[in-house]
Amino acid sequence: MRKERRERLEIIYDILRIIVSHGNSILPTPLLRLSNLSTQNFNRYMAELIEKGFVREVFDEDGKKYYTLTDKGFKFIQKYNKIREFIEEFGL
Amino acid sequence: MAPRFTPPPAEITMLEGGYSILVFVICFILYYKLRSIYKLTEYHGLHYFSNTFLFLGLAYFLRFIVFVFTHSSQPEFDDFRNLLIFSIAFMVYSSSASILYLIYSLTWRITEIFRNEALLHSLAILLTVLSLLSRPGSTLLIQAALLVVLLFAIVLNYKKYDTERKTMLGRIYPLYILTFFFWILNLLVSFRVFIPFEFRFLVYGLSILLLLIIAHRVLKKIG
Repeated sequence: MRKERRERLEIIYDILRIIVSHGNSILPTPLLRLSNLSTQNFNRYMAELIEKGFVREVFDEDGKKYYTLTDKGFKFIQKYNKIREFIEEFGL
Repeated sequence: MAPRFTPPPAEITMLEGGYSILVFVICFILYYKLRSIYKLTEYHGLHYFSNTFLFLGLAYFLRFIVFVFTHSSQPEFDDFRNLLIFSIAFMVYSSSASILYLIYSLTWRITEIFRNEALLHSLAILLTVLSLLSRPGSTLLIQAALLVVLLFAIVLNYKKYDTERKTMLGRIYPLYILTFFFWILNLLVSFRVFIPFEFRFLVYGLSILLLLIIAHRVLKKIG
């Protein structure tokens, strides 16, 4: 059964997955829409992901901002499945 | 002449000390690994679960201190008695906190109550005071009662979150119960209840084995 409210960990994973599924480069607006978060929460999560070094901002020639995953972000995605399995296995 | 503190025989103290250090190290490795994953994810369940092992390791260490005091010739002077009571109090507090943290880790998603750590520590202090004020042996009863609450938490967790439809015995739950069941058996030894030496070794061996199985399963996933 789908949980009513996504957990923090799941939200972070979803954001990272969306970026990867768009060729590791996505504009803020579609990312906000696809992440299914309020603007306030989205900004909070993105600030945190940038601060943790999972995501970085890049700008194209026209000055448009894109989000892209760092190596640490890719590592988190790889580790996420293990962490998720661990949480389920241990009933946490 | 002032009364002298005489420790238990050296070989027994070394055996108990070695055993306590080994358990403490296993618990600390578990705490350290789980903590590093918690820092990455900030997932509450991992915070509670890591603290389970922090306090369990501490409880085992304090059990050794209590063991040394209770198995020493006990001169009748207040300082010695105060140290013993102080050590028992901290051991009971650590033990209660450890079981309560495991209960929290299994139930925190069900209700907000199980996210209040001040309540957890207040309960642990209350149980410690009750243990000290009640007749000898009540500590074991209180810890056993906590084990029953843990059993309820496991049933709740299983009913609410088991998605793989595994049987309860096929999951990690029996390890939780056995770990703390053996911890209570370890307490028996500390309280000078008569225990055959072979049985004591069996309890120690199985306690280490259980923690090693948990450590193996944890490190296999997130190590």
